[in-house]
Amino acid sequence: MSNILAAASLSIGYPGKTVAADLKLTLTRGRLVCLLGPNGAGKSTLMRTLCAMQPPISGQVLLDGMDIHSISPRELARLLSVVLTDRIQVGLLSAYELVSLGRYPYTGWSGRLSPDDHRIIRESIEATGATDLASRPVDELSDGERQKVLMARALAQQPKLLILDEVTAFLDLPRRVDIMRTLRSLAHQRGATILLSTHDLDLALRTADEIWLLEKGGAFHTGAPEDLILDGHFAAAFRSEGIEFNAEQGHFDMHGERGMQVSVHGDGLAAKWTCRAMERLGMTVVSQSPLRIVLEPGSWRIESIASTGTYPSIAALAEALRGQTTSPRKEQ
Amino acid sequence: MLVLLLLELAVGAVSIPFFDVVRILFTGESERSTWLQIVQQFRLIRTLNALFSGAAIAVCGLLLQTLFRNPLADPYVLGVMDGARLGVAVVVVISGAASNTFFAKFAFLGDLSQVAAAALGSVLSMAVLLWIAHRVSTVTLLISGLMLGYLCQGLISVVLHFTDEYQAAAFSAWNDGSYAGITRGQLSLLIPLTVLGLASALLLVKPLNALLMGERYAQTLGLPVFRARMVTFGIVAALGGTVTAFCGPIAFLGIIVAHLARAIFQTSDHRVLMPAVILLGSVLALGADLITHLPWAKHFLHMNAVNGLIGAPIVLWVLLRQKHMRGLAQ
Amino acid sequence: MRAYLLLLMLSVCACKRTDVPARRPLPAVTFAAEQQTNLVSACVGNFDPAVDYFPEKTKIHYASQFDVSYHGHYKRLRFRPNVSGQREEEYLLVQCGAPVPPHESRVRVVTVPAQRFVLSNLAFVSAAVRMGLLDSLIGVSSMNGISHPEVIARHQKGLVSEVGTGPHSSVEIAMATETELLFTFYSAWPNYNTHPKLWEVGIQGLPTADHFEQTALGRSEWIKFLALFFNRERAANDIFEPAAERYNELAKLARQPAARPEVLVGWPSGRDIWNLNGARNFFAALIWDAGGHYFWSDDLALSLVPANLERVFDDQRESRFYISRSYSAPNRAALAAKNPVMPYLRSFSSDQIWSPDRNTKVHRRPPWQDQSLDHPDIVLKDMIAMLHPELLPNYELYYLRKLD
Repeated sequence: MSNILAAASLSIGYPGKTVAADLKLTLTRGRLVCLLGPNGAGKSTLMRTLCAMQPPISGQVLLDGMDIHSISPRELARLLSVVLTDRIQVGLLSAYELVSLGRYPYTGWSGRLSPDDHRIIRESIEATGATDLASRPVDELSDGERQKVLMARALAQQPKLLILDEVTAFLDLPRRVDIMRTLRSLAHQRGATILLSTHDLDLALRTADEIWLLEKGGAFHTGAPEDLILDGHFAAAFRSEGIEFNAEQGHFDMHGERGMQVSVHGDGLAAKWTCRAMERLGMTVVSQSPLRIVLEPGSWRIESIASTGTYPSIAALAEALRGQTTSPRKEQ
Repeated sequence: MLVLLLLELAVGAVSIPFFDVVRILFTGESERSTWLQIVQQFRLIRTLNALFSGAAIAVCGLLLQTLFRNPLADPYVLGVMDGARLGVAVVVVISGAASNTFFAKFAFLGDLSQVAAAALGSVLSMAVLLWIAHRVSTVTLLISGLMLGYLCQGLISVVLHFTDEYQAAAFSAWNDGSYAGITRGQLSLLIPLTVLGLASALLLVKPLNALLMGERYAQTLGLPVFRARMVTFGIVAALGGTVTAFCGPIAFLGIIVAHLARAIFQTSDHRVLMPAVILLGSVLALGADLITHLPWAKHFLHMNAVNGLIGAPIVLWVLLRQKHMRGLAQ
Repeated sequence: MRAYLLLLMLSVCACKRTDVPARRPLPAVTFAAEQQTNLVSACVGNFDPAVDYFPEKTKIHYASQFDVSYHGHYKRLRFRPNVSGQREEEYLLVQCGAPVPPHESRVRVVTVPAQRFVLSNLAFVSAAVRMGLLDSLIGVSSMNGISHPEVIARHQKGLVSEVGTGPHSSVEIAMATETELLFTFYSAWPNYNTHPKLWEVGIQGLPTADHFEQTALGRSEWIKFLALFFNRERAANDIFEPAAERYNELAKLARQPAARPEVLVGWPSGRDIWNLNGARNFFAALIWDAGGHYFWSDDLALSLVPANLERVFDDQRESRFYISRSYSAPNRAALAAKNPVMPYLRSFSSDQIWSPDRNTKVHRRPPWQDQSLDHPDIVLKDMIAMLHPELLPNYELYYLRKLD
């Protein structure tokens, strides 16, 4: 059976308040799944329900075929490991010692580690690329390094399912990319099954095998990222937040309102980044417009009714356009 | 430790030649019967008491520090001992009101009821602390503990108002923390109880390590957090209650030893810390008691003064260092 | 919180009311030049600087801490505590109706005879009653230490107030009694001495330091100190001088005993600390006069000294006798139950543990506490009978009781 996690007609929420009802979900072995949704949609509630920290209102969550609430804590810890946003304060523990806590459900009363345990700990540390950190005290690690160590700890639990809650929050972009890459390789190379909730839509769309999309009001969609984009669910889920998903460009528009129209004429990388620059300035890029930007090798030319001009860089171009869009009277 | 042990037995207000002390210990004979009694009845009992009580209080400190995830937790600072003392004060008053002879007749029951009352008192104060701990930062918890302590002290005064002056005087004599002056009967109750408590604490090293990561993480590691917490509570109450019932409030030892152990072994791993804390607790208690009983001490040094002398700077050091320990006070 | 407040209010309301007998001014009388008695309840109506208003005088023979001189219409009382570092205090006791003589500001003036007083040193109770001051005694520190039946009776009638002991004493209650004088228990610890403070609230606080005397008679002679404020010198002389004579006779009896048994006096005050009378204290002298030997010799302190248990223990190895102050222990077993060290005392095995609680009528209130200061002879006799029973055959002890 390749379904690690399954639930049918699952209702989640709190006594008196149902957050989402009648959810149907399955998680297949070796997949990296990202749970996305606007703030307040109930992502955290769903995550907590799936890792048995909170009982469902109705329905049941099946982990490896068993009702998750019927599994003993120790057994559950061997099937499922979790990385949370909680800040940890472990005093003088080294990263290695922290990771070794992942062996908790396997060790005896004293927590003594066998050579096998040590091997698993080392492998987990290697798998998350935290080898250099192993001997350092956890309290001295940066946020990104700490997340890696915590992921290694979760791996050391040798779970069938790894659940990560917002692990990329508070990290800078390179660190986020790094973590996502690590997770993807864990899933694809090592066959780990990973469920990750995140706010990082762009990165999720690029990395996840599957997206779980939880809308405000409880509507729930699953599928490959591209499918969800094409059938419009993705755009719909975030429209309520005032964010517009640009299906053509595959990213979110920064500006809610449409600005002045502009057309960009040219090819290649330069054209793509010129479009990005136009969006950044609050303009809408269309195929034909009275305001034209024509790309020439090494320079940009504005062609419009009001004025024309050639500029050596996007910065200079942007400066000129700012004058046109914000204070046209000055130009006249 | 052996050296300290022998020193503790050999040094006191009355100078007894070292050779005689050794002879008394091994043969049970001495040319002076008072020496025999001093060594056997006073010093040996005091030494054993310091050994076990020191370990017990030190372990309480470590347990509370992990439980509250607060490096300054300690049964004395957090007012847990004051809670225990309140329990004992209530027993003293009730027993006085009921009948004086009852407790004289059943000394063992009397001792036991004091321990039980002290344990109950510490449980109550810890429950209050736990309720507070969820809401406040490290330092605020410390202040809350202090306030709790004052509250208990105030209640003790109120309770003692219901008793006569003689009992109040007896209570205040007991009120000053010291390893001296406990009876053989009390010792024979204290040793098994503390050994039991320490053994249970040793069994807890694994859950305690998990709790280092916080309760939610501990739960995902398969630890029944609520149960572990209650067990830890029980142990602290039993150990702290027993010691406080017989030795009065022992200041700062809980903080000092746990930090010393961490500093020496450079780890937070309870598998290392717990035995270290037990050992260091005994050693430090012996040392502090030795200082208070140095023969050339003209005036009487109170043991808590010695503890404070060592403990207060450690607390300050931890507080100052805490700035660098990001997020600890969250 | 509300319940807490209510409790607080209730406790405030529950404070005892003090019933105070009305304060009457003393009548002014004519004092004849040839009069042979002091005025004990009157002022002088016809002051004459040439007249001696104190025909009945007293002289201090044994007490080392106070002295009195007579100057016609006033007495000069000097108090020099036997405690190092303490200043001498001087009082002018001026006959009511006579002018106050010029004096330095540090000298305190008391008008005599006083009509109302409070005793915070309960040792003086029976002496005061015997000098005829029962009606003037309107307050004591605590009834817990009082065995005197007449005082107990007056307390039950509401005529004697309790002002509290030590840190529990209440100036407010003392003020409410409208007392003129309040005799405090002098302490070697300066902060504990409240008598100068009392003057600031209109109560004439007077220190008593009988417990710092070095001889038993010196201590007993302090009843004269009390008498001075009431012009009762003759009553004090009548009590003290015969008792002193009998004391000295008795002391001859035990002057050269066959052996001087060693006596341990003191009680556990902490976990491993005992309170002992210093070797210069009157109690040590009393034991010597009774043909005994006080066990603690290497401390020259006057009053109580704290001593380490080990040292007490080592030093008492010859002490066949122990005078315990545990008034509540009926027998040795009870004493041992209260303090596990007791069975190891030499006196425990020699079966010579004594407690000064004979003739106790009310639990924990032995006459020893408030009715022995004016009977130094009986105290000595008890002591001799304890140490050398062969010297006093058929004597019936009054204060001391041997624990079974």
